Amino acid sequence: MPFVTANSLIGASFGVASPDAPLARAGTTFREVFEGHCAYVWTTLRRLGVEERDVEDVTHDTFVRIAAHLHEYDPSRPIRAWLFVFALRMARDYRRLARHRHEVVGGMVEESAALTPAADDVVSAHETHALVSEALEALDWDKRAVFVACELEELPIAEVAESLGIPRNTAASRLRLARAEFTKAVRRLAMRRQR
Amino acid sequence: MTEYEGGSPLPSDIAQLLRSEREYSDAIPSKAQASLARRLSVPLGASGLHAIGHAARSHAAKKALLGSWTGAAVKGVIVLAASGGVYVGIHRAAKTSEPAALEVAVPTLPPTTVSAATATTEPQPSALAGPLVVVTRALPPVVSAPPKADDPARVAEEHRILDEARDAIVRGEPVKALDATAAHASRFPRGTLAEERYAIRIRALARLGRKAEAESILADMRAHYPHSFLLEGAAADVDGSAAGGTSQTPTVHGSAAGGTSQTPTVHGSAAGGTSQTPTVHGSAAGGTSQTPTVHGSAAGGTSGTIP
Repeated sequence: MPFVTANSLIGASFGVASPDAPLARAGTTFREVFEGHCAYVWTTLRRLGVEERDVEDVTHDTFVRIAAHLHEYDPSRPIRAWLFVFALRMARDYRRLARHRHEVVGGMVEESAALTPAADDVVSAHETHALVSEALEALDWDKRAVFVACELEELPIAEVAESLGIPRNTAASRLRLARAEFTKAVRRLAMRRQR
Repeated sequence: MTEYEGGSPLPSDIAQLLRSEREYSDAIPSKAQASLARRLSVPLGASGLHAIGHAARSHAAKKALLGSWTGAAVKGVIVLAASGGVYVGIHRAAKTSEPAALEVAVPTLPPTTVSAATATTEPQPSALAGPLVVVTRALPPVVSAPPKADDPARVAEEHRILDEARDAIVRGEPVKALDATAAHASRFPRGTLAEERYAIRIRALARLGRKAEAESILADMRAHYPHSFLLEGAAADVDGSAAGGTSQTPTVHGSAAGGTSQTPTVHGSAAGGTSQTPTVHGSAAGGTSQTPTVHGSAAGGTSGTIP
């Protein structure tokens, strides 16, 4: 099928699995994907730097694209890895729009604090999320994308490099830098919160 | 990512933080999810919305909610979502492009008209009638809205014409696609979707092997929309025209990430099998940070080739 539009999806049969564990059945639907993974797509877009005010629109557009490609999904693959690629590219396009760019400043703070086990225990999932989100803001988009893909989605770096259209070595280099910057940012934020 | 390629491993507390974060995926406000479901025409009841928050964890509960959606329903989802809701359906029923048609059509449109116009004869849950009814109720009764720059009814008509063009290309009839883009150009020379018209026309010309014309329009498109997300795909079409039109990876050329949604267009070979993740192109080349082009001045008489 060299050229597909929404209209040509009529009658297409979709084989889509469900969360993470691939299902060996066919016929799962857009609705299933939406219901099961809307929060995931939303969260992923936020992690990838889509602003709160825009995330609903970008999520919408991401699902429009997902719907158009549902027939291409291979149920033997984890669906979230498949969905992540859509989110990654939508976020990339979003960030390329000039109005969504912002320069990352900071990273000059030397002071730092480790996350103590005691702090870990009391930090709720929400607080953890807030901390990670804030620390991710310290990364520029290139490093952020690789970091989120590799560290949070646990995708192989070769796959991430391919998805982003960059050489593998470049992706690995960005990941190394991102790890260091993320760690530094978390330390800085932890110090601030302990005061 | 547990395998490190150089560099030092993450400190244990950071690794633990990331492990916790991986489990976190419920950051979407329920209101936003309901809004998305509405925009995407996913019919959800209160119980459905309740279940969404637990869907990722409770697979059985999710499955219990699932009805049988057919490809036609998904098609409806896409068309409606991409074209601004119910306006497309209404427009197809009314077969008119004037904004005034909406004023009359919305309140008085009989259900049978919708069914006939959408070629759906039975009120099955999978039929377009479902999403149409939902969205229709959400529409405020338009009484005398003056035509605006992005009047939804007009944009819907633009979508309808360009959908025809895309369908023609799918059917292998690029000449008809050119007819449709010409119709769009004559009715909406500065339409909201003029940018898409460029891309479709370029593709149709490329399919016809009229590479010189395609290149000319591509140059025109670059001039009008230097930051268009569609440029990359259009250039690939022109190149593909020279190379026989084959493409190794599935490629998507769609709209900008934010703002208005446009009908997604896919081209490229679905063959290959090695790559299960489609390649989505959406950005103009370069990625330089500049002020986005103000759209709406397409085909402003700079050349004789209205795309």
